[in-house]
Amino acid sequence: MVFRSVATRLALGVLLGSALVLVVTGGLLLSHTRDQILKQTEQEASAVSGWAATRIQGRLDNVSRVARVMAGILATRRDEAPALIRDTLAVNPELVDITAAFIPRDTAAPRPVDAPIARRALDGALSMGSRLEDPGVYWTSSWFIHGLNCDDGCWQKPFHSVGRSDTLVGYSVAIPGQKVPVAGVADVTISLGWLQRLLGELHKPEHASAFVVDANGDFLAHDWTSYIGTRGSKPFRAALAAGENPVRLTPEMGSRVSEPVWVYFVAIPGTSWTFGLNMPERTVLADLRRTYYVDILLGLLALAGVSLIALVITRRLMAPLVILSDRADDVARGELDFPLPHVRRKDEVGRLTRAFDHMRRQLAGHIDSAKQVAREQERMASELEIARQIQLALIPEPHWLAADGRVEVHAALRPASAVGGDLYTYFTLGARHVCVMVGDVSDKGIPAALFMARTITLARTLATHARSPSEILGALNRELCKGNDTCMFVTLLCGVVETETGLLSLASAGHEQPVLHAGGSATFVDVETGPALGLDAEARYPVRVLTLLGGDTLLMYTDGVSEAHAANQRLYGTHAILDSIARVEDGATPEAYVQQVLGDVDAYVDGAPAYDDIALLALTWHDSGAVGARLDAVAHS
Amino acid sequence: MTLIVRSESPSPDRSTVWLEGRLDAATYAAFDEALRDVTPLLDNGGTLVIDLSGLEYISSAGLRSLAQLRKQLHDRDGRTLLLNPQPQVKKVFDIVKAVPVAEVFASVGELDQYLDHMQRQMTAPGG
Repeated sequence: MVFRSVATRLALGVLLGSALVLVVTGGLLLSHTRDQILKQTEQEASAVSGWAATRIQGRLDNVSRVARVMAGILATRRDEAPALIRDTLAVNPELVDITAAFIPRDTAAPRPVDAPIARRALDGALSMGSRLEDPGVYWTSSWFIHGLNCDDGCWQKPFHSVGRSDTLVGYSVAIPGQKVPVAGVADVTISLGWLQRLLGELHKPEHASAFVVDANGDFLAHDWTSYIGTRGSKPFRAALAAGENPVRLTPEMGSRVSEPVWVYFVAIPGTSWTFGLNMPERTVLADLRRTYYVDILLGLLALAGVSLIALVITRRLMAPLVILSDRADDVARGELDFPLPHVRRKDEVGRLTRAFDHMRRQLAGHIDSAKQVAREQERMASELEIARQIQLALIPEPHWLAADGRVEVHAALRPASAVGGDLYTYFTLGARHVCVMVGDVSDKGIPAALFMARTITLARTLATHARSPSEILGALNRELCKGNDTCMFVTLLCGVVETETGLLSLASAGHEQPVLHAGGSATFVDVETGPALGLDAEARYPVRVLTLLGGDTLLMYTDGVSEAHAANQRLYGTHAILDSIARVEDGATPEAYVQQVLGDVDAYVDGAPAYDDIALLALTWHDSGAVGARLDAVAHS
Repeated sequence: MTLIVRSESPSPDRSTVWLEGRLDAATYAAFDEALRDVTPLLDNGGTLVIDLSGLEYISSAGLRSLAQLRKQLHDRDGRTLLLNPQPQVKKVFDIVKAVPVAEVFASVGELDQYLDHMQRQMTAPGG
């Protein structure tokens, strides 16, 4: 239920959205900070390493200087070598021993003075000896050959001396000869114990370990003492050889470490040695992780705060909307009279509230006017009903039998709506004539009904002085043309029957042909039509005369019959009317004709509402004794 | 079904209007409306030709519209001539005669012949 509230959903959306943003930016921040920290650590490590390398270099420089000085002096004072090296050792306490090894003048009988050595024992006591005491022959040993080639001095490979616990390393300089280029080698040896001590004294970052490694990857000194004298792992040596700095080594790579470490190298100038710092990645990034967790926690707290604020603000903003939605329910129920909150705000909520108020008033207005229209329609409907009654009163009874019983008329009028424009009428003209009319006013509805009323009233009045349908139509036409600016017109078929003889005169003002049912067959009576009434005051109407025999029936109708149809259906058609009439039995009453045709039309449209008014009139002439031929004549009025 | 009215006025003394569809109680108001835009463009004494070749059906309400149009132009000495009605429409004109049969033409040729004839009568000396 609470999640249906917009405010809650908004707050939740803000929370989720911000959390997503936090996670993404947090990830980026983590990666960025990691890089930063690694860089910072590298700087720290290189500072420490640089300092250490400088110190180591200072110490080694001192050693190499002693060796070079020795080589220079020994070039000319070979005989004083033992004394020189002893005195020099005495004043250079950091040295372990000094050798002055010359190429023997006679290798078959080398003399101890060819290779004197001054040594400092662990307790500081100095002693003299000779390289001839070495296990091997010194002038063919590798350090000597190597030294002979070092005019400017070079470091020998570190080595472990028997009887001492530390590692020693020698610096050799070739002694120039007076007749030959090289006479021997001056070699100065120091202990690497000081190197190890130096590593211990360094101000290293926590958990870092320092080492010094030579060009081969052998550790000369290491904070992890078990590593001293051992060779670095393969990836370590590869990185060292390639000059990579810094390098990340992991146990998976085959390094001799238990966890990923970062190694920082600094070459020691003047040597092939390298100083290095080894830092476990875990400790490097430990701060980073802690900082990240704190940041995330703070971020989440901030998010919760923002969501809470969003919730509160949205609730306040939405409060009028809650009222409005309740009121909208009222409107849906049809209740329009209710108080609305007074809103001065100009934002969307304010506009909505005002628009809602406006809409409510408009709606009330519309409902009122709709009710009024409905009342008006009701009134119109009742007026139309009255008009219908009046219109029906204008036409005579459906059934009529002349006083002498010879003319029988039956008619039907079915307006498509309340009132219509179709008409039929019949009346006697004097004692011996009967006039029948069927007409159809153009258009439909009230205008047609009024025009029909005018026509039917005028017809009765004007016909009293006429005996021919042509005269009747002519007079009626002239009267209807008066003031007929809207060009309403009526098609009318007018017949006058002489009751005694059955002589029938017909004239048509643009109307459908009537049907004559005589002698068992139905045919159209071809009446030449004049213009419809009301259009052309000069119009003339030819008369068609025919003689009816006893039982003959004339059927007059409007196009409501011939054009009857349901939606998209074909029109009923005049030939269907012929067929319908042909089915009526001879001697039937006119009512039977009317019922037959109406029944067939109703069956054809199958209950569809009528499109047009229908008027239908059947006239039967009864004369049992009448004999004679049918007389046809056309006369023009 | 609807009514489509198109018109063309090549000159102020002659306009042609084409009708398509049905002209009955439902559409005659649209026809009257459309023609209200056409007739004022026609000079007094001008000829309005209504081409009915596309008209499928006409009711008495449509006939009344045409008769009224004819009367309006007649009052301005103008003529309304109907051209080429389809057979079923022609039959209605023949029966009801809401417009004179002489003003309904089966083809443009007949119409032009009639107009030529009328003009000669107008311009003939003493005519």
